[in-house]
Order: sequence, then structure tokens, then C-alpha cells
Amino acid sequence: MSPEQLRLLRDVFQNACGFVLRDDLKFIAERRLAPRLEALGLRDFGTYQRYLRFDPRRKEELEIAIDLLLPRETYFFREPAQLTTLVDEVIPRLAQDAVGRSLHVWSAGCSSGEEPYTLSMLMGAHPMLEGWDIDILGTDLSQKALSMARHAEYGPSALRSTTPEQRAKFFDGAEQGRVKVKREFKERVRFGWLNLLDAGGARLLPTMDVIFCRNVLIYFDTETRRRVVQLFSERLREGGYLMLGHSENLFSLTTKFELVQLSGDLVYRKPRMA
Amino acid sequence: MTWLDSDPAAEARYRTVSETAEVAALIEALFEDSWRVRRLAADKLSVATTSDSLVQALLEVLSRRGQTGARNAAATALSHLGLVGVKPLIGLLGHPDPDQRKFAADILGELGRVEASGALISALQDEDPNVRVASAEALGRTGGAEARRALHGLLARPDPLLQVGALEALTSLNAPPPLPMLVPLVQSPLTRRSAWRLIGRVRHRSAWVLVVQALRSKATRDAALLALGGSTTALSADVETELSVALSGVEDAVAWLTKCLASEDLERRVAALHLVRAVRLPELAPRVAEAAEGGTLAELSLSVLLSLGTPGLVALLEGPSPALLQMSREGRSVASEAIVENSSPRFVEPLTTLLDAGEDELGEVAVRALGRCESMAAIAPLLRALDDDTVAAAASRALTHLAQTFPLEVKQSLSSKVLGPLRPHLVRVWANVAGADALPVVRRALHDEAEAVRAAGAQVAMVVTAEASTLLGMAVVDESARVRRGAARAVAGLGPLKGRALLERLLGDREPSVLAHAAGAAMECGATWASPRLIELTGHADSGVVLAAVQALMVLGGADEAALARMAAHADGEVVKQVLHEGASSNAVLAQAVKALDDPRWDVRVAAAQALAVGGGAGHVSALEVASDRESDALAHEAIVTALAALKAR
Repeated sequence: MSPEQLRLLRDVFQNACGFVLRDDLKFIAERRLAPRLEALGLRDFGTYQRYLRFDPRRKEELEIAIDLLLPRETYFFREPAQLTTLVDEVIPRLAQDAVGRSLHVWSAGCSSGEEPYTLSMLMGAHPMLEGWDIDILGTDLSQKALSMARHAEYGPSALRSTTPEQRAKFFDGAEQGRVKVKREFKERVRFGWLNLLDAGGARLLPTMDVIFCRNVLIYFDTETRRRVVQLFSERLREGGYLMLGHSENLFSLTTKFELVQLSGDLVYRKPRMA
Repeated sequence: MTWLDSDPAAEARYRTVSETAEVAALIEALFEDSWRVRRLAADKLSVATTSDSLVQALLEVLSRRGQTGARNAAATALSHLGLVGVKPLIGLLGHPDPDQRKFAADILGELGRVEASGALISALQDEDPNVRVASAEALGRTGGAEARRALHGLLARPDPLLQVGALEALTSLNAPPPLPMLVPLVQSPLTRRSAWRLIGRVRHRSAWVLVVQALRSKATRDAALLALGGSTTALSADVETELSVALSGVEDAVAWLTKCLASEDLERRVAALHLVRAVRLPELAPRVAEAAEGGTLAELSLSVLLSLGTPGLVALLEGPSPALLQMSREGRSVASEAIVENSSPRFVEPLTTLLDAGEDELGEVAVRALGRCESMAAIAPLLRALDDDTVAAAASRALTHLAQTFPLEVKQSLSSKVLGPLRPHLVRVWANVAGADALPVVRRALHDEAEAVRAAGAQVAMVVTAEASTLLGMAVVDESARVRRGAARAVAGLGPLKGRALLERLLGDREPSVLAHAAGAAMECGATWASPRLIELTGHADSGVVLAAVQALMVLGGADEAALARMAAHADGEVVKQVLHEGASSNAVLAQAVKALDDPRWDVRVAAAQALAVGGGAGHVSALEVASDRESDALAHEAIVTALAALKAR
């Protein structure tokens, strides 16, 4: 792949969903996309770029390509310190502030569903939320990932940070050493197909109490991050929380959130109007 | 609880600055409280038209003690101004305030112009230690023979900070001094890491002897590792052998390398990967794959994994709970590549287990690897995979690949399957394997209820050469555009004369995607008779059709100068690029290329420069020189410079 072809592909992906194909990922891109060229009978990456722009099946192919290139690393109970903060500090605050006995949580960029199910497990088991109506929405750009999420069946890789007690409590056994999320934790999670650049689509979502968007913004350019964070600000209620990955922050992106130091973690919160 | 105040006023100022190009306003914005506003102003000043007054204004900001934010922002802007900034900054190295002198050294380093080296060498004698260290570091960016000599000289000065600065500068210049100058520096804890890093750049066997010795000792091993972390290309076989010998006696080598492979420090991971390749520890294969985390080291990880051969794959694939199933997605991705490339008959069983594990991505890897394992035992699981939509396409290709080694066996296995319901990938692989014998199945496929199966039948119709024309005739009149597209892709195989009737009909199709494929087919089979229709299609509303028609015309040569000029001025940049790429011998295209040097799209400007490089002459030099001066995009600038060199040499 020549530098020009890499950049043209980057432009295509960036325009479609804000994903930035970095120069140092050229090798990965070549390796992961080469089978697509073979499958489509295309001679080089320049032709592939044109296919992504002009072919009638371009949208389908673009989704496949982005799915191949985005790392989408996820597993159950990832970043446990942040989850402990959610359980011990954020949920009690939300429960205290809530108008009714309901909570809306959005897992933006949920990939194959491990994060929203983890949230369902933690909130479903939380004593303060007993009898509450908890609605957890997972959205992603990849239909393939969403299909896996709805199926709710996982292999060992997804469970690498899960204790034997958690496995027993939250999962049923399935074939081939795989597990399935127990029905009670599955049923309060729903999924939707959403590009985070599609502000119109996102406006159809309810007002959220918490938004989780961990390790997603790192793959976007600054302008896209700004747009997405603006969207989160619109969808979050006053006093609601935005949880980002540990390597992510909102510096230089927006002043619409306040940084709150809790005892276990730093989190962002949408300020209340005076 | 800490609060970061929301600041609507800063947001408003940010918007104001983003909309102005006035230098005075931007200079004023460097003093803003908001970091974002200052940064934006600095970025805009960096790309403003450079003048002496702008440089002076920025230097004036730099002199404001107590205005740290503004000074840093001005430094950022100055560091992007290029050669024009060098002379005034050299002047600033003589300022009475050491703070100003350090700023000057730092910015000259950022500019990286060799013209500043002499002044920076003089500044190594500055009375202020911070200025001396900043000057040493800056010389690591400006380079030049004098800079290297001066930096070598600093290594003997009894000042550890200056020594570290010099070591780091020499590392960035990849200019190590003779080994005896470095050996004393590995003794001091302050200079040790930087010294080892530079020892790794010494091209002499004695340097490797030192590294090998240090790796043997637990006390020096971690620092010495840095000598191996500077290069992501493979080490020489001799060095690898020595490293292998060095680590063979180390008791905790596996545990230590495991830790290094998981390090956050990229240099340590690189070094550990080199060592794993040298010592050939296949049990570390899963860790090697995981070392690719973040993607930057994927190429090195894969090459090390491949060097571990079959035992490495065993460590990934075999056992009651294969390591591959536990790995992160990126680790899996690298491991999968190694599995596909090194596949062998030994792995049919674990690959079949992997295929049945229920994970789509791993299933596709298993299918690809089974196709390359050169074992008849792979046929059965691949036949099953043809029924699974998620891996059927890969299974079709894998079986085609396997049929190169076992043609009869694959054909026999498929022959009973094609008697049942047809699926697109089954039709494709059967046509590839059975050739002319596939006729009954292709005919059935073209009458199938499912359009995907009919489209597959159309695409493979050419394997039945004698009947292809009749079979494609059925597909060309199919009500589904998908089937007609399949026919358009195949019809070129009939040739320009035999396929003419079918191609004429396809070139008149109402569906743009069919038209685009038909134009491609006309180009592929050399149908020069189609040029008038292709010229008509360059006026089509769909860019995909226009692009395909232009591509075909450029190859078939059916467009006159007027048509070329019209196509080269098309609204879609992809069309313009195509004409520029293929039409550089036309004066009309070259005239358009000169205009396209101003195009808003960088890739169109690149194509314009390339066209002028190929077909241009002396008359185009001045246009390219003007474009070179104003071009801010690195790739486009490189293309313009290359074109200029080509024209001047002509």
C-alpha cells in the first residue's frame, strides 16, 4: 500500500465514521484488508478505495473494512477500578438524584456487547437499585458486532477478567466451553445500530443518566471527538456522568463537562444549570 | 472534589479566533487564559504568510516573562516557520536573559535546520547549564558533521546532564561515537540508559560483545536491553546467535522475557521480540502475538512468530484450552496471520476444533489455514464450512486453493453436494474445480429462485466456454440488476466480437452499477467499437459510471482532445485523477493539470504533478514552482518537487 493509497483509505474511513487509520497501522491494514481484495477480485488498494466510493455494495464493504480495522478490544469487567467507582460512588449519587425509580444508561461503541452486559450485571445486583427500571442501551457501528451482542454467547477471551464467582453468578454454560449471559441480565439490555457521527439518529435516544464510551474516542480525529462529545452532552441529563477509558480525556475538546474527583477515579459530569 | 469550570466565554473566543486570519488578532490571542484558544492561535500563525514582522512579533511575545502560556504558544508558532525563523533565533541566543537563550535553542532544535548548527555549537559554552543542555539536544535535530563532532566532545565533559543530552542527540542522529567513549558512561546510573541505547547503534562486533555480556547479568540486563530496542528490522544471524548463547544460561529468561514483552515501553517490547527470535522460545508465542498491542509492532511480532515455526503454532493452537482463544483481538490477529502462513497437515485437527468454536473471526482464520495446510483431511471441514454463511466465502476460496494439490479429491467431495440446494459460494467453487463439467450446475444456478445464486452462475459462466454465450444471454435479460452485474463482469471473456451483442445491451442498461461493470468489460476485452457510447456515458449523472467510462476510454483511446478536456474538468476528483493518470500525453489534459495544481483535494494535486512529470515540458516549470511555494501538504509537495526535478532534468 503506497502512502497515497493509505491516505485515500484514511479519508474514506474518516468521512464515514471519524476513524483515523494511522500511518503506523499500515502493516495491519494491509494484512487485514488483503483478504477483502482477494474476495472482491480487486488488484490493489487504490482500486479498493474506489470500490469503497463507487460500488453499489460500498456501504456493506465499508462496514466490513472498518470492522476489520477497528481494534474493538473488549471483555467483561474491563477496567475494574472504574467499575468499582460506578458501583460504590456513581450509582448511589444517581439513585439519590433520580426523579423516579428508573435509570437510562448508554454504552456507546459497545462492540460485541460485553460492556452493556457487564453494566447490567453490576446494576442488576446493586442493592440500591432493587426494583428499579434499568434500561441499558448498547450501540455500535458494526452490524456484525451487534449480532454477536444480541446472541450474548461468549468464549474464553471475553472472560479473561472475570472471576469464577462472577462466571457462576452471571452466566450459563453453553457448548464448546462457551458461556451465555443469564436471561435476567440480558433482558434489560437492548441494542441499536448507530454511527456516533449521526446526530439525528442519536437524538432519537432517551435522555441518559450515564454514558459509557470507553476506548472509542482514541480512534477518532479531534474534530470528530468534539462532535461526539457534543452529542453526549446533548443526550446526558444535568448531573449525569460520562465515563471514558483511562487513556482518554476531554482536554481541549469541550468545556461542557466538569471533572469530578471521586475516591476511586476521575469521572466527567454534566454540570447542573444554576 | 475538584471542578473544572465550564467557560462559555472561552468557547466564544475560540470561535472568534477560529474565524480570523488577522495576524495582530492572532498574536493577541496568544495571551488568552484558555489553553485551547492559545493553541488555535499558534496553529494559525504557523501557517500564516511568513514575514519579518511576524517573526519579530513572535519574538516579542517570547520575551514577556511571567506570560508562560503566551511564550509557549509563540514558541510553537516559531517552530513551524522554517528557514525565515533561523537568523532571528540565532540572534536570540545572544540575549542577556538565559531563559530567552534556552527558548531560542529549543526552537532552533524544533526547526531542525542545519544552518543553526554553528550557533548551537557555540551555545554549548553558555554559562547557563540549561542553555547548554538545550543546545546539545537541539543539535540532535539540526545534524551535520560539525554537530556530531561537538556532541562527541560533550561525552567527555564532567557534566552528567550534558552527557545525557549529547547521548540522546547522537541517538536521534544515529551517529554513535567510538565505543571507548561510551563504555565509561554505562557505569553511571544517570547516563546508563542513554549510553546503552546508543551502544545498540554502534556497528562493531565489540559493541555486541558488551551487550551480550550485560544481558547475562541480572544487574545490567534491563538497561542493556535498550541496546536492542532501536530497530524494528531483524538483527543479523551472527548477533542472534550470540544473544541466544548469552540467554541460554540465564535461569529466569522465560519469566523475564514474558515481563518485557508485556512492557508499556515500546523499546523494551521491541528488544524482547528480538531476543525471542534469537533464543527461539516457542512457549512465548502467545506473548509475542500480544506484544503487537496497539498495532505499531504488528509486523515485527508476526515475523518473530513466524520464526518460531511449527512449535510456535503448537503453543497457540493446541491443548485443552488453546492460547489463541484467550488472547486479545490484536494478539489474535497477528497469531492468525502466522497460523495461516505456517499452516501444515499437523494442524487439521486443532483448526477444525477452532472452526467449531463458534467465533466468526477465528472460524475464518481456521478456514484460510485449512485451505493452505496441504492435507486431504481438510476437505471435510471445509465442505461443512460452505454451509455456514459467515465463512462460506472463505471456504470457497480455501477449497479452490486446496484443489490445486488434490484436484480429484476436492471435485469428488463436492460432486454430491452440488446435487442438493445451490448456494452462491458452492456454485463458484464448483465452477473453479469442475471447469467445463460444471455446465449442468451453472445452468441450474441461472434458473435458481435466489438472485444471489443466479448472479454467481452468471459470474462463472465463462468456465463453460462452449455454452458461455447462451448462458450469459439468459443472465443479461434477468430482472435482477445483481445478476446483470454478474453477467457484465463475465462478458469480457467472450471477446469484443463474440460478446458484442450482449455488451451492447449491457451498455444500454438502466441501472448505473450494470453500466459501470459493462464499461469495465468493454475496456477489458478491447471493445473499441464501444467508444462513442462510452463518451456518452462520461456525461452520466452517476460518478461511478463516469469513472468506469473514462477508465475504459483512456485505455481504448477513443476520446479526442475536446472530450479529454471535458473529462479532465469533471466535478468529481476521482474522474479528474483518472484522466490525469492516463492522459498525460494530451495537451488538453496537461492544461487541466496546471489548473488542478490548485485543486482543494491533495490527491488531485498529486495526480496533476504526476501528469506534468510524465508529459510536461519546460513551459510547465514556472507553474510547478509557484505550486511548490504554496503547497502545505507533504505528499503533494513531494510530488511537485519530483515533477520539477523530472522536468528540469529533461
